[in-house]
Amino acid sequence: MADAGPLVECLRDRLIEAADVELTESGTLTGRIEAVARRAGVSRATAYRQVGSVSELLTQVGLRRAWRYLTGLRDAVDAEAGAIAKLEAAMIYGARVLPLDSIVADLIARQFTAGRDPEVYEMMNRMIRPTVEAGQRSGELRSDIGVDRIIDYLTEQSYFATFAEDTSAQTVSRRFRTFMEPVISPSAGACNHPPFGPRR
Amino acid sequence: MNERLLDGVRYAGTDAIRERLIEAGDAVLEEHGTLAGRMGAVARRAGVSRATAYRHLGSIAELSIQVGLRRARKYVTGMQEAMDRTCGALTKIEAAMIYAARELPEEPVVLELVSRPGAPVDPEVRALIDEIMTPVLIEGRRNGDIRTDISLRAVIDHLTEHSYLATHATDRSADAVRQRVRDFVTPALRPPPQSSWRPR
Repeated sequence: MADAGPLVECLRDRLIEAADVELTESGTLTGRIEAVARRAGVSRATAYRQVGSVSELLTQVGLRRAWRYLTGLRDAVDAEAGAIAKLEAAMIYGARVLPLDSIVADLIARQFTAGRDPEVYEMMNRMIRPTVEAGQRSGELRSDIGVDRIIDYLTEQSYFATFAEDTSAQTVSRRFRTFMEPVISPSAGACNHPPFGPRR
Repeated sequence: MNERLLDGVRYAGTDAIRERLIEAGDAVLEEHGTLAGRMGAVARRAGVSRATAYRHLGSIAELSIQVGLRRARKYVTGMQEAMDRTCGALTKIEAAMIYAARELPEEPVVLELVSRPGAPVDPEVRALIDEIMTPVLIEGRRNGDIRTDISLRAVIDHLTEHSYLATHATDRSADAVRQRVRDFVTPALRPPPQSSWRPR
């Protein structure tokens, strides 16, 4: 059975790819698992065995699509110098492209209302962890809280920026500079004012 | 009877029917656990026709908001009491958020009032939130605990977003909410430190 792994992976990939096409054409995957299976050249039973449910298939299609945005995001981030500017660019990019894809936007939404999904978290990690870590090392970002906590905060803020009525670069930038920058800057941890005092 | 007086009587009649419908909606929700598809039952209980109920309330969604607002009153009192037990704007905000995260999920029709990102905030809901938060924020500004470089509207909207996150989080314990407030809310609300972060 040593060869079963890659074969299963290949089948699963084919099903996710088929579901992506089906979703684009039909606008939904509800009740379309048979069509997805047909498109992937497998039986309905095999499709269910491989992906479990329509909901899981939707997650996988969302992740597949989200990875495509990674390249664009990297370009936007690379164009800036410094962690704060890079994270602002990532927020602006996300708010511009993510609302266009409700499946990907839903993935972000589920991150904090339904508990952290490991695959989505891994994606967010790949997107912004290097910037956050570099920012903490250089002293540009606060380091009194962990990288994971900062990523969680940036994820929920990107959710609000993405779903806002106005997702223009100017509005996202205002949100970032008004509320987010003070929260991720070292002053947030280093200068705790009364009544809370510095973290022990 | 002159026209203005007649208008006043007509208005008072309309108001009374609306009130009866909201009260009936509250009772129907209590009995059945939902208002979905129950406008007929609400109308019957209020002693009016289904058509009249729709004319006065518009939709089940509006009825749900009105029942939520009616029930929210008792939570407003609870929240004020929680805030009154503490000193200083930031601790009061923390107490209000801990209270909301603990109590509101028990009452879905009230929880629904804390609108989802992107959903328009009902003007009456906004007025209720303003009523709770404005005095605290004004006191906080007077004492130098709350920044004054942005409008109260922006501060309250930002707090509403955090309340949405706190009340919909998987972990809604007092510790988790306290940590959220201290890590993410307080740094965004405090006046900028003299020698560190400044709005760009």
